Amino acid sequence: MKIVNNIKSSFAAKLSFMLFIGTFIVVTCVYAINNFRTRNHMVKEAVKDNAAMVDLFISKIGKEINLVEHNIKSRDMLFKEYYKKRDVDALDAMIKDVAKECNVREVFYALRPRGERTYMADALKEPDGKINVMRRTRNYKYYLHTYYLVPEKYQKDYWTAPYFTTIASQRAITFSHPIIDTTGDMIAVLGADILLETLTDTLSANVAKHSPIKGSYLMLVSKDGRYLAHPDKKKIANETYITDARENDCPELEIIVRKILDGESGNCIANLYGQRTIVTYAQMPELEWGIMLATPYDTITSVILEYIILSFVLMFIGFLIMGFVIYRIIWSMSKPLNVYSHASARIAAGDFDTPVEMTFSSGDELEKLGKDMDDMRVKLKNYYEDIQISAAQRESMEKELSIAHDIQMSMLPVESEVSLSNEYVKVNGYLNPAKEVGGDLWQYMLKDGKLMFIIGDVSGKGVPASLVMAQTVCLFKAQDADSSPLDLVMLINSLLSENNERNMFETLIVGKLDLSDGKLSFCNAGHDPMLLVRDGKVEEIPMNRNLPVGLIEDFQYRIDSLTMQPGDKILLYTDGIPEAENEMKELYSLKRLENALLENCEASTEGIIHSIREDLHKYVESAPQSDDITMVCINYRKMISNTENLTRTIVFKNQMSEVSRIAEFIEGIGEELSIDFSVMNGIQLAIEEAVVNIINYAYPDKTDCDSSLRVNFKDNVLTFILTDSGIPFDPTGKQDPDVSLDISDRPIGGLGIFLVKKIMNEVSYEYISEQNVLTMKKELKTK
Amino acid sequence: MKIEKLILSVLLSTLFFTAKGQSSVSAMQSSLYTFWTAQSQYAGFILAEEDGLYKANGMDLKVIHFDGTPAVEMLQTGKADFVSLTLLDALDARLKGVKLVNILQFSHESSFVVVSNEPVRSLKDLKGQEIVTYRAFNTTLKNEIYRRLAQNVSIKEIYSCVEAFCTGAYDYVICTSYNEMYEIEESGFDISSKNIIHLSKCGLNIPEDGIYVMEEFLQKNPKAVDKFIKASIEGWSIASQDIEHSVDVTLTRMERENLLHNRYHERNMLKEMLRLHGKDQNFSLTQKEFDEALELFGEEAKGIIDFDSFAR
Repeated sequence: MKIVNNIKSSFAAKLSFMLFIGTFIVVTCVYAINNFRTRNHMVKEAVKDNAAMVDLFISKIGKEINLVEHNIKSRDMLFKEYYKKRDVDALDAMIKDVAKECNVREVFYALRPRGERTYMADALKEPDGKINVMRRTRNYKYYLHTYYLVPEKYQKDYWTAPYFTTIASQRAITFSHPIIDTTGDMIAVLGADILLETLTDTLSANVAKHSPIKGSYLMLVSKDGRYLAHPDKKKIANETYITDARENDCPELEIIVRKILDGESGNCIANLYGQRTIVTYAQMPELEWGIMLATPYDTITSVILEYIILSFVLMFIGFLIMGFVIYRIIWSMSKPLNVYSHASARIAAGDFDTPVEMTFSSGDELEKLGKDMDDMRVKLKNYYEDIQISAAQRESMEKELSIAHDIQMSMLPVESEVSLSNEYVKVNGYLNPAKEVGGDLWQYMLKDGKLMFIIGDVSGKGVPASLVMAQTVCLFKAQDADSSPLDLVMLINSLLSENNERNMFETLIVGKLDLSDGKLSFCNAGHDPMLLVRDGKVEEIPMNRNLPVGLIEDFQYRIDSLTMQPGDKILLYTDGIPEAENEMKELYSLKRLENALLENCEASTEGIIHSIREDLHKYVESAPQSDDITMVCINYRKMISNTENLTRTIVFKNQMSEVSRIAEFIEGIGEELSIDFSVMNGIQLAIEEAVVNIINYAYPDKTDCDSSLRVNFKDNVLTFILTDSGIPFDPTGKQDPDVSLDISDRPIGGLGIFLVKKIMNEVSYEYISEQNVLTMKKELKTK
Repeated sequence: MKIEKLILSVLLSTLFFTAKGQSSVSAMQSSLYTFWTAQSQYAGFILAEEDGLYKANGMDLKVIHFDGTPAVEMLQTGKADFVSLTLLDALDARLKGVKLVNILQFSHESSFVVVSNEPVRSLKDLKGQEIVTYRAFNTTLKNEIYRRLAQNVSIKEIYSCVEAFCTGAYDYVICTSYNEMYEIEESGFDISSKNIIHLSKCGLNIPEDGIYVMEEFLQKNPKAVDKFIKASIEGWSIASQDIEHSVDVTLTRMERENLLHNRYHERNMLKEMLRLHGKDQNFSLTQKEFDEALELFGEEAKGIIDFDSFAR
């Protein structure tokens, strides 16, 4: 594992390893192909060698055989001569001579029996080389042996099959030659015995000694199929090729020997004794023996295998040494890479001051890389310093922008002034610049019973827009109660148009509301029209659009007017709202704004602003704000007299989120009726208690059920009627808790309705048409 | 002192002779002589000896194989108590006055076949031909073949008849189906039903190998004969059930006696011997077999030998 990690982490080791593996694979493949070719070559050579050896053996045995045949046959005439003379001594001397001249065990002659008279003499060669001639007894019936019978019958030479000699049980073969007289009758058989060992053992030894491939062996088969030579000595004489082949499940052996005994010669690859073997075979012409020289394929393969293993080990060692040398060379050559690696690590850590070490001079790409890296270090250092300066400048700028933002915001209604509320009018506004400083503006002021207000949007963003915006606000603030919105628009237009080299412009709505009669005069300079909320409806206020200020210096703006009814609300907004985009780049749209306004038309101005903001946030989600957002809501109202009747209704779901909406609804009524804040607080508490009770318990296991709260003001009495279709429940039936008891002694529950009863002047419950109807009345003091 | 020594020597001598007498009683020494050398032809007897079946039956029997001495001579001279002989040879000896008795017959079918180089169908196809066979071929059987072929055939008994046939010197050979026939096949000669005649199918189905004892021996040692028969039958029974074991035992014996041997040949020989013995595992000569064999010796022979005195 450690070695693997070292190889993985070291360039030199990795490259060396890959070179080692690559070279090793290529060389091994070449080597394998070469060995395959070598093996084939060796097989061919083995076949050639075996064929040559078989020829040699045939020739050697043939020589021995021919020598015997020649010596016997050459005595034919002499034999007849001695036979004619009945010179037995001469015949004996003759066979003795033959025995001397040939490598034979014995030489004999056997006369053709005449009646019961038989005669046979042997010249037997003793182990010490002495030759004794002896005569066979009459009991020995030589004329019944094949060596006599066959030549007699066919009058031709005959080589017997191998047999065991009666003396010493040696294996021998006999050559017998018929002596034919002039009349054509056979008068005798002259022959000789050869010991097989003298022929076969020498051959087997020669195979073991001279065969180029160890493991080759010789097989000799006599013409009667019996083994004369075999690597398994036990099989010699005992087995024939048939018994051997069938006993050892070696059918190819039987096929080959049959071919040989039929006189064929050649070579083949056969399965002998479970081994793939190259067999070269032939037949000896004189004896009709079969000779086979067999070389197991595995012996050739094992020779090659030995060679392969040795070569492979040497090659592997060589590769290891070469790999190590290559590793050292690459390591030495790639040493600069280590230096560069350390240098780049230092640079990455922010050390731009330490130069890249250049202690070597190779003059190649590596040296150039080092120089380039050092150049890069210097450049990075400079760049880093520039960035630091830029960052400082940016920080300073951001600080200035923050100050500008603060200044701009200070020009708009401050926190406490964001809402104006008196008995005639209520104003709420909201501005959120897209950048630190923006181009949107709004402002209002109340002078001599007149509410003057402005909303605007300067083209562009940032500092230039904010300066224009500041100028506009200053001009607005400089107006008095008699100033006309038109005059102010014309003034701003002329001031902005003058020397307007940057072609900046501004959309505006300037308005003035006479709180005594609700008359509203206003001038629109290219701004989005105001929306009017009246009698539960939302509509765009028709007006002259005119041109934004700053475009045409002497443009004649036209003023518009409207008489507001008590309870009317108007909403002014900049285009940042309808043009706000969500992540899908879809616009919020005027339509959605109108819907949001409609849904919350009963709410207070503050509630309306809040609801629209919530809806806008919900729509754009995380999409970045691209434009300033400003909206202003003005509610014109008139104190309702005690004799006047007011009725408002809100429907709510049995969900806790509805509580805040109901609170806003109550608050709106309080504002509308200018009810004292402390009184309204109590009413809010009582109504909330009653509403929460319905939300929590009226509809068990159900959500999304509607209930309603109807408010009626008449004769200075506020009547709240809570209606729900939930399970019947009479909260007034509950006994009031004993508040004089210690809190730990009091039973749980009952405090809520008790509180309601305390706050309200009258609380009653009815169950009408399967609905709970809780009526709460509060008398208000006359102002 | 001298008296004490004398008493001691008398006691020791008494002990010695007593012990010797007891050992001779415990196991009778006897021998079986086979009319040919060791081979699977005698597998049951060799196995009975080598596996100790004779000893287990209280016999100290040695199986001796052919050494050139005729089996009848071995029996007559008392060199062997039991001999194996063909039925025809035994009848021939009995007719010549040798009082031998068949005590066990383990071949109930003739093994003789004529193998030919040319296709043959019956004995008649051999007319005018020169046939070789092994030495000491039964004369009675040879005469019967001559008789059947009206002397128009030459049967030559020679040494190495298989070689003479295989080398092509002779075209016909009479041999046994358990030995020479396999030798011919093992030398590469293809034997088929077209070039072979079974004498058993030509009205010459004379049973062959049986075990014989002298009448006198039988009368004196009936229990020994019984033991021999029992152990020999056990030997043949084991040989038939476990052929490979039997061949192993036979090969070991042949190797010990310096005889040519191979497993393939001996296995085939044993199987053929078991076939010749027959499926019914009968180890007795039947009256019918006796009568058919005696028929070959002519009418005169019938008056000389009777089945009851010939076979036990």
